[in-house]
This record gives sequence, C-alpha cells and structure tokens, in this order.
Amino acid sequence: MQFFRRTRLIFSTTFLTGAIIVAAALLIGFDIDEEGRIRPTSNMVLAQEIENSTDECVVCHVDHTPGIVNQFGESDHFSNNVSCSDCHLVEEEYPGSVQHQNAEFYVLPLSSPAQCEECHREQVAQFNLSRHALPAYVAYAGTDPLSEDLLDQYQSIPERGGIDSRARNSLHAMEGHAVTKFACETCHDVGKPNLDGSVGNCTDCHIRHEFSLEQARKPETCNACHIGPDHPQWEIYSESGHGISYMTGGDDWNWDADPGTLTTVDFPAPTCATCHMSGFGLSATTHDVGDRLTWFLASAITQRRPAWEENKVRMQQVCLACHSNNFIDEFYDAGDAIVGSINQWVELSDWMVQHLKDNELMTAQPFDQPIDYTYFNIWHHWGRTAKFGAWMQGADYVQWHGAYEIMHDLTILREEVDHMLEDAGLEPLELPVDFPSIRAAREVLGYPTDEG
Amino acid sequence: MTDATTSSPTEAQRSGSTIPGIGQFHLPLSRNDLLLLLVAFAEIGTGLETYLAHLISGDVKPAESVPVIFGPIAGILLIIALGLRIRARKATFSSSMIVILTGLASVAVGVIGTAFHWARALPPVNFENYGLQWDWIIYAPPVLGPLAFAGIGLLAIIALLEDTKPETGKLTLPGFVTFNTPLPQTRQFLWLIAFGLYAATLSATLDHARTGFENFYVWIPTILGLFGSVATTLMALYGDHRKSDYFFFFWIMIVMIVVGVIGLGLHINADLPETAEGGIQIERFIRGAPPMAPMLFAIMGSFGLLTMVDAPVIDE
Repeated sequence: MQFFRRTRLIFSTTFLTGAIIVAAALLIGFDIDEEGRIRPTSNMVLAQEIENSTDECVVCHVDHTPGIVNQFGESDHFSNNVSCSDCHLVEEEYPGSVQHQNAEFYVLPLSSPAQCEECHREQVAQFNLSRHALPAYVAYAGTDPLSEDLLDQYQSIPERGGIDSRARNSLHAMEGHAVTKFACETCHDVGKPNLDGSVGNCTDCHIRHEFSLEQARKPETCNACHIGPDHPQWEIYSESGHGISYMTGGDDWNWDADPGTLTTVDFPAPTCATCHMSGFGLSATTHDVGDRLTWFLASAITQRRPAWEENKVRMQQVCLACHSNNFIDEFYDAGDAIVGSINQWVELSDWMVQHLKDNELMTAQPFDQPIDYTYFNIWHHWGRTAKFGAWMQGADYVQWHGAYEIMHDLTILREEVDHMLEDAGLEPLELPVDFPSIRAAREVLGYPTDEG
Repeated sequence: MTDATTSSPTEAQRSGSTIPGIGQFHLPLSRNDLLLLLVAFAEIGTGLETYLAHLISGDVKPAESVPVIFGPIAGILLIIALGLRIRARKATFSSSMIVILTGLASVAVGVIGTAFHWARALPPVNFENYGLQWDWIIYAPPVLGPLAFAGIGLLAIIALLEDTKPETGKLTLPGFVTFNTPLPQTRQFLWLIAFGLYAATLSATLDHARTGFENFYVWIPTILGLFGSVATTLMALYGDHRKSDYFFFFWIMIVMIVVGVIGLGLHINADLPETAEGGIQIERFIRGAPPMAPMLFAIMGSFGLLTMVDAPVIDE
C-alpha cells in the first residue's frame, strides 16, 4: 500500500498518458505505412468533410493522390457539392475518354471546357470569342489542322486577324515539335482544340484543383506566358505604378471578393485581370481578354481592333474608378501617338527590306539569313515592347527595351541592306542624315515631317 | 507615490532552499524571484521566436511587430523590477507595479495574438460547408503560440504574490491587498505549467504533422510532452504533495528539459546544410524547423523545477 502511495504520480501519469494516446489513436486513426512508419491516416491533413465523404472517387484518391483531393477540398467546387465525376466521368464513346484503372467506368483525365461549360456557359462562350481561344492556336499551327466546324468557329471570331502569323508559323515548323512542345505550344495551346470539339483548357489560368479566385486574379498567373522579349507584360507591370501597388500592398487586397462586385476598396490598384477581365465599375466580367482593347499591339503594324470604340468605353469605365476623364483622354491620345510612331519605324524597316525583295536578294526561306532576324526583332520584340510599355506605363520598356532597340536594329538593318545591295552591284539606300530618327522615318515614308 | 513595504521576498536566499524529495540547496533568490527571472528570459526568448516565426511571411507587418518588440521590453522591465526587489530586500511599490502592468500587458498580447491567429485558421468562406479542417489548423499560424505570452504574464503576476506558509491560497500583494483564492500558490503555478506543457505538446504535434510524421522520433515530444503534461496536471490536482510525488515530478521535469534541449539540437541540425559546401542559410532557420520551439518544453520544465523550491509537503 505504501508503495502505491509513494508511486501514485508515476503510475497515474503512465496510465493516463497511455489512455489518452489510445483514445487519440482511436479518434484520429493511425496507420503503419509500407515503410513501417506510424502516421495518422492521410485524412488527418484533409478536410473533415472529405474524411467523411462517401464519394467513391474521394474515398480512393484520398490515399492514392491526396494532394489533388486536398486541393479540391479547399475549392468552391467542393463547398458547392461539385463532385469529381461531374467533371471527369464520361461515357465510353466520349472523345478522349480512357477506362479508369481497375474499374469499369470511363473518365477524361483532363476535363475540357465542354465539362466546365455545363455550369460556366457564359464564361466559355466569352473565351471562345477571344484571342486566347483558336487564334492563339492558329498563331503557331495555322488553320490547316482545324476541322470544318472549328474553321467556321475561327472565322466567326471578330478579332481573329490583325496579326501576321506567317513568320511565327515558320519558326514553329523550323524548330520542330521536340522543341516547340516546351516552347510555343506551352502557351499557345491555351486555344488548342480538344478531341470533343471544345477549345482550350480553362485550367491553364484556373489552376486545378483549387480553382482559386485569388490565384486567377493575381498577375503571376498571366506571367506564365506574358513575359519575355516578345510580350513582356509582366516586366512592364512590375515597373508600373499599378504593379508597384500590387507588390507592396497586394497582401491586403480582397482577393476573394465575389465576382462582379469589385471596387477600389477591394483592389486599390489593378492587376491584369482587373483591367482586362474583372467586373469593375460599369464594365461586366468577361473572359474575352480583348473585350476592352483598342489596338492590335502585337501586330507588326498595329491596327485598330474591330469595335474598338466600344472596347475603349469598357476599359475606360475601369480607369474611371481612379482616374479623371481628362487624364484618361490625354493618356489615350498619347498612347495612340506612340503607336503611330512605332508603326512608322516598322514601316521603315519594311521599306528597306522591300528594296531587297524587289531586287530578288532575299531568299524565300524564312530565318535563313541574319537580316531575317534583325528585321523580325524590330517589330516582334522591340516594337511590341515599346507599345506595350507605353500602354502599361513601363517607361524603361518604352525607352531602353523598346525605342532604343528599334533605332539600334534599324541602323544594323540599313547596313545589312546596303551590303547586300552593294554585293549585287546596286546603289546603297538613300536615307536622310538623321536616320533612323522618327522624323527621318516619316520623311522616307512620305508622311508630313512635322509631328504635330 | 511612496514605496510600500511589508515582508522580505528574498528571505529564502539566506536560509537555504529545499526541493522536497530531492534535497537542500543554496539558491541566490527565493522561488518566486527565480520564477520572475525565468519569466523575464522567457519573454525575451518568446519575442525572438515570434520574430523568426513572423519572418516566414516575408516581412514583419506592423501588427506582428507588437509581440516582437514587446517580448524584449517586457523581459527587461521584469529584470529591472526584480533588481529593485533585490536591492530593497523587499517588495516595493514600483517593482510590484512594473510586474503587474508588464504581466497584464503580456496577457493582453497573448490573447489578442491568439485571436489574430485563430481568425487566420478559419476558412475564408462558407464555414458551414467547410467545417473546421485539420490542415487549416496545422498550416495556419499556430493558434496556441501567442498564449505563451499570456501564460508567462499570468505566471509573473502570481509570482509577485505571497502565500502563507504552509500555503493556504490566501495571497498577498505586499503593502496593497490580501485576498483568498481557491488554490494554494504552488498548485496555481502547477496548473499554468500544465497548460504550458499541453500547449507545447499540441504545438509540437501539429508542427510535426507538417512533415507527415516522416520520422519516428518526431513522436517523442508528443508522447513525453503528454506524459509531462499529465504528471503536472495530477500534481496540480493533488491537494497534498508527498516527497515521493516531488521526487518523480522532479525527474519528469528534468526529462522535459532534456526533451527541449535535444529538440533544440535536432531542429538546428535539420536547419543546417546537408553538405559543408552549402554554408549556413538563415532562410532555412526561418522556414525550416523552428529552432527555439522545443525550448518551450525546457522552459516549462524549468518552471516546474522552480515551483518545487520550498513547496509545502506532507509527511509520508
């Protein structure tokens, strides 16, 4: 008796500790995995709702692919009772279907917009009308792979044109699929047709399986493609006041605000999505990324977009949340003016190269002469960069990565053209002494030289 | 304002101190003064740990800097208060006010911090549909973390008070007030330490859940921490303590200290580069295993040991 009295603490503690561990083990559930490690069942780190789920997919995948189940558990799809089968389960004859391993039913490993469309009809319709849809794919693949229906769909997209994709198609063919699979196609497949006839892949921007509003609204999502020398929107945005606001204060923005309800209280400054897609002010939410744009800035010679006046109104409705009418009008006037200047420089490069073509000094094969690259860089890299830089307010990209590079490459282009003309026994080009200033470009092209 | 004087809190330092069941020691300070000193260091350490923890999000935001700044200031204030007590060889008005205000502020920082952390652990929308999810609790800011401030703040305030000998729960703030409490002071300390150990155990378990319990040894702080928590709870529940209780409690608290120190070593080891060429990367200490976290076991073990000093004991 004395012994137990003296050891009451150690015995009681041991007993109670053991009892608590056993109770916890029974409550939470523990498992010994294949490597002999004691671990809580994977449900411990999953949503309790998922833990208790009787959904056949969840019950199995919670052990086999817990990562995606966990992501799904955090999605609004999950909280709105959208099941895995709603997006993945299809009939055997459905194009692209595969039989599920160790099961009788068929699934689509990657759901297509045809499945998303069941609930998000309006968004898919808007996307299909955008340059993110078939035009993105045609830009590298051309129209040959399109079925008749898809060709009709492509032809019905008002903004399908405006960009001469001949040179880029050539690059795609020259580099070969082993390269382009990891290059052009990574981004341009955002508009690739699927076997079921739908176009594109919503999860390129809405990363599965959380489908988070915050992720889709953050500029890093667009950064996946809109980066680099040919369209450095991410770099320009980072330099702009909008981007600086996002990077310094974005942590406190209301990323989960309900779509269509956004105000400057939620987003004191815009991200890519705010200006181009989000419902903001009087502009309704759109999944047509060109719906608020006035110019085809990506073109060699930039032209107006179809219905650009209406697009302009929609974009300016967003601008008006923070900027005055005067500011916006002046900004648009200045933006239009720089587009004109860059166009004239690019036209000057066209004029010089045309001399070679007229004298049959250019080969028919694209990108087989150094001059092809010089000529291409002027519009595809520097011209675009300067225009994007102006419209998105990245001064360094207008100047040193844009206008300066155009002028630099124009002098190289002139030298290359003159060499080729001289080698052919022809006279070099006659150009103004202040070539390649914009005044000289206007003079060569026959525009009035007073820039006003 | 004049300093009020009553009894001498440093009396024990002259007569030697007893740890029941273990032996007699000559300690430089009384039990409560030693507890105050440890609280002071714990405040500084908690402030430092909070700084490292809040760095995880990239920078320390204004609200997050409150505990970071408060911890060291509170620690220094408590050391000053203790210095005043020791120099005057008695509790003084100024030293008592410093401890009370610092302790209350520490409780407030802890409670408000817990509210902030708890808010971050809740789902952003549709709480009814989501329910409470384990991963939110595991990956959210540690909900119980800020309570460390509250716990040690309370401990400082209780340590300021004096109980009769043998302890009855009749506590005195020298020169101000005497009031009855339902528990003797030693058991009040024990309850606080028990809660601290439960929090340390739960925290360690949730932290290690992030690793998916890859290694068996990450269960050790869970099991031993639970053992120490239960033992301390039982000690707090017992109405009378025997020497044998203290004997076992002493060694259990030593185990808590060992768990903390070994954990500190293992966490630092986990944060060091795998190869010498890698060099020490501060980022690994910020985002890897939190180096100071295991020391919560050691601090609680030390509190447990100090609580035993001159604690009331019945004959067996």
